[in-house]
Amino acid sequence: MKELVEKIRKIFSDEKLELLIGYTKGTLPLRSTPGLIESADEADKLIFDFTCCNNLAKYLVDEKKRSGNTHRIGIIAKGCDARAVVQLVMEGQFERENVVIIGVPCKGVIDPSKLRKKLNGKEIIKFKVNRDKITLFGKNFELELNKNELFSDSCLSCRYPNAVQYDYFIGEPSEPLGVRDEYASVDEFEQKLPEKRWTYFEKEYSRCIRCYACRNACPMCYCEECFVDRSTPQWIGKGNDLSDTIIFHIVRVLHTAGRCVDCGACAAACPLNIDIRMLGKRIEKEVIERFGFTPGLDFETEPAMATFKENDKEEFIM
Amino acid sequence: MKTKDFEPKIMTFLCNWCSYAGADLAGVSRLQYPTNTRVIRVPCSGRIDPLFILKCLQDGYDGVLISGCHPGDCHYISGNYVARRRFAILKTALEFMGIEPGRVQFSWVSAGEGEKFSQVISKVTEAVKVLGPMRKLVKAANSLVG
Amino acid sequence: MDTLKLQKGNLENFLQKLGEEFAVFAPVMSDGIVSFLELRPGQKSVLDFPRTHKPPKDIFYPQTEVMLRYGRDGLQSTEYKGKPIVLFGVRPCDAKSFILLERVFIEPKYKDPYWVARRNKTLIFSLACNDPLPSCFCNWLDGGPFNKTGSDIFITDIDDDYLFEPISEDGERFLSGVDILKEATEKDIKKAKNAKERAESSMEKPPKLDSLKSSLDTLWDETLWDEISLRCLGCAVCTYSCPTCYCFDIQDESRRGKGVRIRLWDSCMFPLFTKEGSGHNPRPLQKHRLRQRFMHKFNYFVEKQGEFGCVGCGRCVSLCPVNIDIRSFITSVIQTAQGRGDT
Repeated sequence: MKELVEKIRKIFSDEKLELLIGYTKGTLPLRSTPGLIESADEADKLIFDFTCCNNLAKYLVDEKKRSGNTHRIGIIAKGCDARAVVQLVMEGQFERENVVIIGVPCKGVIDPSKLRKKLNGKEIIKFKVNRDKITLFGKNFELELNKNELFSDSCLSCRYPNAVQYDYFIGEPSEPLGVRDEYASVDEFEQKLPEKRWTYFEKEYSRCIRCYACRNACPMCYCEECFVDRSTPQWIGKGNDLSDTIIFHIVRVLHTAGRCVDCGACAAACPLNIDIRMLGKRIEKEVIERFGFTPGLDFETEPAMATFKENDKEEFIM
Repeated sequence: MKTKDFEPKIMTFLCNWCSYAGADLAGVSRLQYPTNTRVIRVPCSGRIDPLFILKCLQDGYDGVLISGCHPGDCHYISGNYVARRRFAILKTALEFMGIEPGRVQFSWVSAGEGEKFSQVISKVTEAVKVLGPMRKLVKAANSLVG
Repeated sequence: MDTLKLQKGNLENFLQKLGEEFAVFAPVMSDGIVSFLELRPGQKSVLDFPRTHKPPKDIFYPQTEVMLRYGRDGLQSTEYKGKPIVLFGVRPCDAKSFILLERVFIEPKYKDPYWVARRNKTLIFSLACNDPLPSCFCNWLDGGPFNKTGSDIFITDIDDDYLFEPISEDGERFLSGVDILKEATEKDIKKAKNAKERAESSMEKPPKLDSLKSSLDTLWDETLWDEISLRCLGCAVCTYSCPTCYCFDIQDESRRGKGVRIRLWDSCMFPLFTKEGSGHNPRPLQKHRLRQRFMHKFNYFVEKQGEFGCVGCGRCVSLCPVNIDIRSFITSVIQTAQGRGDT
């Protein structure tokens, strides 16, 4: 952590940053909170570890909305955060030269909703890490788990744990966890009968309370006005009617198609442990197979849904 | 309801520059095709937001057809190419979720293809008829309006 | 009337019996989420679950509620006409939340018919918290793991039995008619007292909040709002998981000649919440919206109703996706005001 703080302090003054987006210690065990610091002196508050699950690229767009496109902002970036930054630059959300990407090696981050599931309503007061194991201590219980059991599903099959594009990189690049095959769960799910698949989605989305935490945690959801909030005309009902909710989730995934960097921030933000990732992952796979595009890897390739090829496959068109 | 008694309601979005004229041609050529479709004329297949399609299904249409210009023929140069990518993704999403692929269909019909237009409508109507009434995603089925 | 007890083994029988007369709502696990649902025959309630994922407010105030139906044949009212309701196993913080919500829904001048129709037919059995969670802070806000505010009957878990203590007249009347309950012994009552002491002492000592309201009076423009709101995602996790948030929107949904008027939860975290028809928004930034939430709970509500609009259940603390902790906010408000010598 000391190396991180020292280097950030230097970058802050070298690059003449006006703001740095990183992580600071949270108020609960195994939680961090985004930290937006405005001077190099505050750098010692910064941390980076396996509790840093939020995608910070989200705050770049917020900050631009707040103070225009002229600020010079630094961002601490895991592989997924950096990819989101690249994709946002490609979408013209801000200028490349106004953002300083500071890559950090990611070894997987804890998904708070998985942690809640494991604890079954209880809460912890401290934890101890021993290599791959983590022991959780509550008021009158103790639970030993494999760290992988708490890591976000996105991390378990992540291909880009280190920033692909960056201005600085602090630390030694880490290896992908490689615990799961990237599309195994999608492929397996696809083997089920259509009725079963529909029932699954209905069951998952029926828990949705339309709090929009998934949308708001997502770095790619930056519309001034989301289609669900539009009132002239009002496209979908705002109550928790199931069909309205399902349409919200489908359209959210369609809007992030070819842009989603699978950081898992949506799933981690969901207070009701809804499987938000499944549909998005299937779309990600389609975008790769059909258009050969993976978002956020470089500053040259045109994003898949903003371009076309004359010979794109069209087997589904009569 | 038995399939043979079921008359589906199908929403069709037709591009003003091609398929809409194709439908006109089918009409003046006195070609026969089923009457299950309702037409909305749009300036380009690229105008279709996937939300329109979902909205139709939610409002109780049993099928949706989108028809635009053949590749290379777009009045706006590339609207149909962009739409094609979008539709590919929508189709994948719906099928993955377990919604019958036949519900939402796409075609390229030019202004000169009156014959093709009537065939497309017949095919789509037949396919949706076999699928029966739309039940998934329909708001009336489980909604407050009831 | 004395305290009664029920053997744990008889709980299901007891609830089953209750179900004949009442719609019984109890914490139920469904798809990994625990919330208050109407118990179906044979369904198990999870009373040992520390804090339900969702607050029980939706029983009286559903997220989406039909206020009326209309069609060509006129209007139909949709008031609750079902069985009387038993709310079983509500934690003390949530039981207290009903008292706060009632200051809004049943204030002397305006009574909300939808709330009243259900609430007036409801008996609340609250269940003491033997093991408050680390994120619980009910003891900051005049509550506690054994606080009886808002209960008709207060239940304590004492290992092999549940103690039932009547609190309200309704509770007393109900308990006198149940023969499956036995009288509690002095030993049982001692056990409950010990549990209470254990639970209360297991919670951290609360800070003094006497100056919180007046501190907020002076902090309207303070930079502390920036500091917190910069992190805030602007989602409604905190408001929708809050037992005392009550803001709503009203919408009409109609098609083919009939329709409904619905009332649905809304959240002050959303930009649309205050956006006016002209397009002007008096709370354009997240900073303004977050300030509204905190001010409402700890300043305006106190001014109007005489107490804090928060029961310290801790749901927002544990669920906030970016770990904005309302407890740190409270302490920093007090510190900021003290630092400036305002209070």
